[in-house]
Amino acid sequence: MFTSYIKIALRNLRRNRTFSLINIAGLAIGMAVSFLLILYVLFQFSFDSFHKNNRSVFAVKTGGEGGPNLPIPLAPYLKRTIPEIRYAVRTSYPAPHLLQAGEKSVKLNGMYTDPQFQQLFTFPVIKGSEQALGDVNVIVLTESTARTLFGKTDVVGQMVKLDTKQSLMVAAVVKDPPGNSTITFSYLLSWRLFEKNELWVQENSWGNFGVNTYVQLEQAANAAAVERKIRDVLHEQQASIPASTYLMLHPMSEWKLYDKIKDGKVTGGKIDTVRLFGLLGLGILLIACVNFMNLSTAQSEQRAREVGVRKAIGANRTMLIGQFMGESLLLVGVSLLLALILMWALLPWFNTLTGSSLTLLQAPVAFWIAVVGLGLLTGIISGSYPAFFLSSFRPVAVLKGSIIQVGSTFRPRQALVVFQFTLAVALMIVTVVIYRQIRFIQQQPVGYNVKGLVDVQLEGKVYDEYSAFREEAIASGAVTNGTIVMNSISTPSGSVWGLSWPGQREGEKEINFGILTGTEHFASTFGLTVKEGRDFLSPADSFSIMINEAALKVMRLKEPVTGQQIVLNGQTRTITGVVKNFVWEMSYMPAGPMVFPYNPSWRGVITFRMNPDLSVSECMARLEKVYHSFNADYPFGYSFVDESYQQKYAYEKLLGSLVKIFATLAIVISCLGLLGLSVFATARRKKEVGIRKVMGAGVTQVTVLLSGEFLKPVFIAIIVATPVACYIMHRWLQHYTYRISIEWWMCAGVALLAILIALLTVSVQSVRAALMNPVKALRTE
Amino acid sequence: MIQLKHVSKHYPVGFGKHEILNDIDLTIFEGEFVSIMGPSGSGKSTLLHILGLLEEPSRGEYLFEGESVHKMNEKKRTQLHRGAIGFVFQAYHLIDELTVYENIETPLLYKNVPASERKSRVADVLDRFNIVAKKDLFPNQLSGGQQQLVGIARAIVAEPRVILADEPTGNLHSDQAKEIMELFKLLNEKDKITIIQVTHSDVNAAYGHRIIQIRDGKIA
Repeated sequence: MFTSYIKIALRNLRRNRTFSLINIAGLAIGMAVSFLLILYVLFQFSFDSFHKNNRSVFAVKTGGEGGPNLPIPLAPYLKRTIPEIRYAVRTSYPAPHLLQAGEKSVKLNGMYTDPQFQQLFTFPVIKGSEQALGDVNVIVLTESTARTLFGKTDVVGQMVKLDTKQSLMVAAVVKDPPGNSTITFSYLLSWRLFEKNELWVQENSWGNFGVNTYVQLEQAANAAAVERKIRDVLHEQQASIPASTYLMLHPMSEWKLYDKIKDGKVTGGKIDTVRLFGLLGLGILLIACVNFMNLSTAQSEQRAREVGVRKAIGANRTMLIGQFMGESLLLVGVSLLLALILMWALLPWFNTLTGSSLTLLQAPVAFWIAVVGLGLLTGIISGSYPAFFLSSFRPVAVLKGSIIQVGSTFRPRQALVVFQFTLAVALMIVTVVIYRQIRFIQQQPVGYNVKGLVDVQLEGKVYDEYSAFREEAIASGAVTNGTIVMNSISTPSGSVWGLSWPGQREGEKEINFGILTGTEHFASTFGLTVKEGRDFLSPADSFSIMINEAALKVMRLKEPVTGQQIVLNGQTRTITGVVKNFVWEMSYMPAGPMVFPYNPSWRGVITFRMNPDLSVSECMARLEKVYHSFNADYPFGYSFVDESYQQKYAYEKLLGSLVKIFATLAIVISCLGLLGLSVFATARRKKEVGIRKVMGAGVTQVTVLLSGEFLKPVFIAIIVATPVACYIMHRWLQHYTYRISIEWWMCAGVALLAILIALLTVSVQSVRAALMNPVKALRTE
Repeated sequence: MIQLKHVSKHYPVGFGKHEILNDIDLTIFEGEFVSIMGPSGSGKSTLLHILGLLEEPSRGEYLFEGESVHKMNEKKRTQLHRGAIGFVFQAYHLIDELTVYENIETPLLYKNVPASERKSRVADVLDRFNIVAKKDLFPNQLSGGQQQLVGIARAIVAEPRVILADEPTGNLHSDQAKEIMELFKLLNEKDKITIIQVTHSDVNAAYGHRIIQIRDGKIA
């Protein structure tokens, strides 16, 4: 019996080759895409779950914005005063350092941390001690760093040179942090070394916010109670820190997905993207399943006669249900296999797109459960229509062919087509709006000449002799200008409060200003417009400061602005210039108030204006030569400002390209469905077309007749989808202060495109039917 | 064996109804060969469908081997379809996706006949109808007469006590028709199978022991 079912199923597949192909392909594509998204979503949810203490570890953050920057003395203080805290650990920001072992030298990101880091975070130790960071001159390597430097992992006791100066002994080798770890590093350095190397760490000041702090609570501790205890520690320890900068605990399970904090409460974060992905995946899967159901039910009606015969010769309902279910599951099984192959092929591309590192082999069990579950569900749902509907018919009715009526059973299928196209059209509108908005925010004036700027990290000798480096770079002809800043102008990195200025009102000390330190040639290198006053000229400007227009507005300074004095970090500085607002954070937000103090000691980056008369490669070649004359051991690290500026819109771009892909998929799968249905309907109406042609109907009339039937659901879909999509996009656009408005022509264009695509799909069949020789059709009767 | 008492059948049409069979009384004994004749639309096919449990009468009683049919449940009816009644259709109604062999085998599959017995019974029937050479062909590779042979082979393989044939030769030319009718005669005489056929042809009807004329839903 069973083999007979399989045989029939396979023969049916073969007989309706086109139909089966469309059906399987549509489902496979839909499944592949939604499986990718399921894998991605599961991966996102698995973040940090591998830590043994993942329930009891918290990051300490400042309330309000949830910033992770905290003063150096905080962690030891918390450990000392709060008994519920088992460990309190500080880490520096991961920063690139040069590591050398023998001939090998490599620049990697690492961080300084307390010895208890290895107890709090449980990155497994392969070789060496779990208390490795107690000494000063030690280093803990990850497995891959050890391999890069030494070619093996058994390297405890070997020496590594840090930044060409300090010799450190390898005290332990740990496993690489896995891909789903929020905390990543290539090596760990001891906190005592940090104190030795950095003056500001030695100072151990409550006023300097520069390190991350993590705590692990005792098993029985109540996190909310601990949170109340630590809340006001900062203000109590140093009165100058405003009480609004209170502390909160951010549980490890929320680090990745719930990283947006407002007023001490988690408000979302990456979870929004993950949810969006989930919804899109579900939508595509739904479209594909609907397609599958539509096509298999359409086909099953052709088999009504078979059902009748089988019933007349003794099949009961259960057997027929089993047969149709089995066939449906077989089809789904084939699609499932194809989907997995497709997914395997698409993974590298998907990983590049989303910046993740997913693999099928390491997929969690939950993924396979979801895959099998979805497969079974699709198979059962799409098999249930023919199984229950057709098997319920009395054989006489089926044998007489009376259920094959165009009107009655066609309606639910049209409803399904409407549903598919609604999703497809909505996604298309969403795509258009997102793309227009991305273009709009990218076309906003930047406020400085972002093209032709290159950032070079200051480190090694270049850090010490920055002035000479700048002079020699200009002398080489590679660049025309350069200025020393604390950080790349393209990535906002600092803010200050506590400024005072003439005519300041009560409470205005707490206003946040963006800060970017500069040196001479600041405005001229970037191409910033100085509206009043002048650029920094020389070291004589040591106590000068420039501000932007937004800051001027906040401060309400009287004319003339230049020459007035403001106090920043306890230092009185004279305003030398007012800079026109430029994009520092996001081009869709109004520029915030900013100050630009002259301060070469906070130097981090030198930004050069490349020589426009030379090619970029020539510029960089010359610059590299100059760089290596200072830093022979360091690899030449640089980044182009226009590239890092574009990074700001990475999220929007990802969203845009994803939605575009999904919209394309949705319309393709929907059209596959439409194609299948039209193949089917045309075959069914062959006789009608034959008769009409004999009566004198022309090719156009027949084509219109056959295509028109399929355009109706598309029209309805457009009417349903347009307002829904417009509403959703209207809400989405509210995130952007500067935004486009949704225009009628966007929707009209999408509608037109959808109709055109649908028409093209359907007309292939209709035209063929219309051109057919009517005698042929009539002879089949 | 078969007894119809005051059987009527009508379909609702708009607000009224369309009377197809009207107060039919009919008894058919075991081993009979009965031909039902009548003009188009007289109700003869409906009568056959009622006899074959494919349709239910609107009124009246139908006794199959003394048992009242309308009291039977779905399971019991399926049982009768599997074992007691064989169908032969005008349009053959073979399953296109199955070969000749598999088509004939299907009723045995539904009857849960073990594989070895299935094999021998199908082989017997193929042999008897001289279609062994065609067993691996699909229905669309056969002529109409051959398809009907397969149809009959499928009807008798489960060894039914009665065969209901709805214009079995309607799509065939006269030579083929004769062959089929001879076969029915043989089955009736040799295998003692009761045969009830609907036909338009006087020649074919003459093969039966008894001819029942239907006119406007009544036995004339």
